[in-house]
Amino acid sequence: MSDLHEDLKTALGAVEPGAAPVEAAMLHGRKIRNRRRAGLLAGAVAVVAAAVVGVPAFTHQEALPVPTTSHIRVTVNPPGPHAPAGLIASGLIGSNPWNVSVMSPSSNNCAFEGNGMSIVACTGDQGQPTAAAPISFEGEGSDGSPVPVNITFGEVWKDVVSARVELSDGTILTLHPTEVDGSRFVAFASPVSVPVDSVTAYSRSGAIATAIPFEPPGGLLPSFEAWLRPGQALPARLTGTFGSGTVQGKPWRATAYLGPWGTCLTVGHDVDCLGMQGRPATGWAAGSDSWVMGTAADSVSYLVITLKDGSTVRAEATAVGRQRFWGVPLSSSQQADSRWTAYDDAGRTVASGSVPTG
Amino acid sequence: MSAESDEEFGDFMRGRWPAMVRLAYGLTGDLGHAEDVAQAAFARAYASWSRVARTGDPDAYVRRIVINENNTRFRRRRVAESLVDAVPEPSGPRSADTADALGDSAALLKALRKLGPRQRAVIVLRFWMDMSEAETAAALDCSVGTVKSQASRALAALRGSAELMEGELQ
Repeated sequence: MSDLHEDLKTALGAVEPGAAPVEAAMLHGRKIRNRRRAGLLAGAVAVVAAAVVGVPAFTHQEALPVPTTSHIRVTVNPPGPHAPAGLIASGLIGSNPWNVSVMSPSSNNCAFEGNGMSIVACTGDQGQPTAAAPISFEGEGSDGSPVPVNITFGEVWKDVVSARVELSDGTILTLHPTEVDGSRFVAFASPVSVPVDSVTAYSRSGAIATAIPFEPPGGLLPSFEAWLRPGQALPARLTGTFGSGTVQGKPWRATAYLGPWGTCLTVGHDVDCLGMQGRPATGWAAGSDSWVMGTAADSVSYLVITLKDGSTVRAEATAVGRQRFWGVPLSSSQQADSRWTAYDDAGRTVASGSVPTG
Repeated sequence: MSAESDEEFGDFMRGRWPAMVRLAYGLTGDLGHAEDVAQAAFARAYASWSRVARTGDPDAYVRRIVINENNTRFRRRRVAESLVDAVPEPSGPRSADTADALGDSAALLKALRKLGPRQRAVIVLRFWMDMSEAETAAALDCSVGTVKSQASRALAALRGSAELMEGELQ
């Protein structure tokens, strides 16, 4: 055995790979992270007032094109009596199996997050359901499967007994929570080409809330940031650009999508959804590797970001509907140790602070 | 992520890239696939870098993704692998001694590639990475019995391999 070990050590040691593709891995990693991201300002999400019974029949957002596709059969099954520990749900996308498991952090397998059509998450690693969101959805995209798939999973409120998922092709999926380590989870998978129209969480007494997800352009993961109470009026849908230009010779455009999913901002591969809250005084929606963007109070006309070398970057606050947004390209190294100041039309300081990073 | 985190990740990836590609090569038997698998594993590590770095053992994290990615490929393909005779050429100058060693190594790698994917994975994990049978079973999502039987068959296949000199494997 030890000879084989030495032989393998010599043989595999003779394999000389090329230079480490650090930049490519980081770019890919950013895409993965952004696809996973469900929104950075969860703490700022306001509870939407409950109203009368009857969740309205929602339709998929018109603002974004829905790719046409032949029908793909989608199934979701709860774990059976002999299922492996931690299995939340499994099923098929066409003929391709998928599954989601949640493991205790002490489990050896919890160290990785899975890939392809098999997801392994760690308990306590997901976002927790908030007072406004009965399900804390997040997800993974499976680029490697024959049919590009989004796998979505999350922890649910204690009183959620089921969830109903409506896909844009008419498919209805019913999810039943599975308990792992005292927390309860649901999971489903759907083809990227078949967007999720809505997810409704139910308690024993009926519908709790419905989420109409934001489907970002480019096949990024849907965002389930805003949950509508039964009977609540659907917020109007509106799309507008609040920043554009070129950086290092490449064009960029910052876009706000307002609708029943709340407010979602996109720039490059960054997507940030702000739920249903109004306008925090001057909010930072995203401090990614390449961009910063956020919301602004009505009184804010522009922001000035002062970098640590003393140079400044100006960002105009632009209205989209009744909200104001701003965004500028700023690398992570520029963000470090930088400060921002918001000004009104008259040039008076409205607010200031440090630029958050990460 | 901050510039410091990016720098930390970059240092980590540059340092561990050769080892992860070698592991992936042992598992896949193809250098192109191996680099793809390793790059995907590092990308996943970068996507969760703040948490991965906190574990104190990012190496184990990436290693596990490499193994898992290979498992996924194995399940996904379910078709006979197409075997090629060419082995990756090591870069850089060779001394006479290392040329001899590489001649033996090429034979072993060639024989390794002729194993089925699961047998190859068992050999690499058990006998290169020194994982226990239980650890190997957990990594490959199979039973200890399967690891034992696959290892036995793989070793027999290697011993009988035309590529290897008789008596090389104990």
